[in-house]
Amino acid sequence: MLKQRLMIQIGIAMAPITVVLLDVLLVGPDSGNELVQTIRSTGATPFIAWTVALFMGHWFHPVDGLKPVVPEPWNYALFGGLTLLIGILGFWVIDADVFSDWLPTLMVVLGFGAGSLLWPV
Amino acid sequence: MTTTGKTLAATHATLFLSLVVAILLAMFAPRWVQTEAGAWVVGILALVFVATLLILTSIASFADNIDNNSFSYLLRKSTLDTTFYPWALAAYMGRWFHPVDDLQSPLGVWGPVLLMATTWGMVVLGDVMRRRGKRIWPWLVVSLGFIAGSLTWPA
Repeated sequence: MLKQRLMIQIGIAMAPITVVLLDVLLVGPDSGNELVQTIRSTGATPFIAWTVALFMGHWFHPVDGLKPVVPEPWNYALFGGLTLLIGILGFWVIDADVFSDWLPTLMVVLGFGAGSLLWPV
Repeated sequence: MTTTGKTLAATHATLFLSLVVAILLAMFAPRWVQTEAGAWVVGILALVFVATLLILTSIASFADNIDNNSFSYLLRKSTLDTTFYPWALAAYMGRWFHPVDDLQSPLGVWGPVLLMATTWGMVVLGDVMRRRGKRIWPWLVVSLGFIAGSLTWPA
């Protein structure tokens, strides 16, 4: 029990510092760099935002004990297919120039909804 | 103060100190990584921290008593105990996926400070509510965290 508490304290102490260290390494001293551009305004943007939000919906959906609205294994096929479609559209079909400012946020909202409805843990 | 109360107070104090260190790092480390030696130091530190957290998470995964144990189950279960993980992850998402390109925080350098303060406040509020038998819904924590990350720390 004591060890478990100690581990939790160590984890809590390290987590925020780790996030900042990684962020400083990845973003560097300047804003508007390549990583920021890649995540926010390239063909990868919809896929990255959707996938991250899908996991957030998977973990943090609104109802404990929630079951997928589409029965297994079709739920996997559905959100897997949607993820594939978004990847194909973003990377190969739609010109990244038409992506608007609010697209990342829209993909987050849709991804969170999909993760909650189709893949709740 | 009960043992649980002392543990909770210790957790809040640890988180507070960690957030203060994180703010200082966010302010000064971008200058350090401009030099090769500084980048190495930050890189090695980050590697050690990530490795330690992964090891701790792995130990936690094997030591709990949850059926169908997995990282996802642990994370979901953690929302019964703390608001930290949904809030922190959502704030980081807000940093990247906010609705306006080239967004600058209206709070300037105080933005990250406010984010750290609200992070601490949200964790404490969640713990206080839990002790009274209530819980802040995870989806609400995620929504508020996303907004906080967008406004205070946009990339």
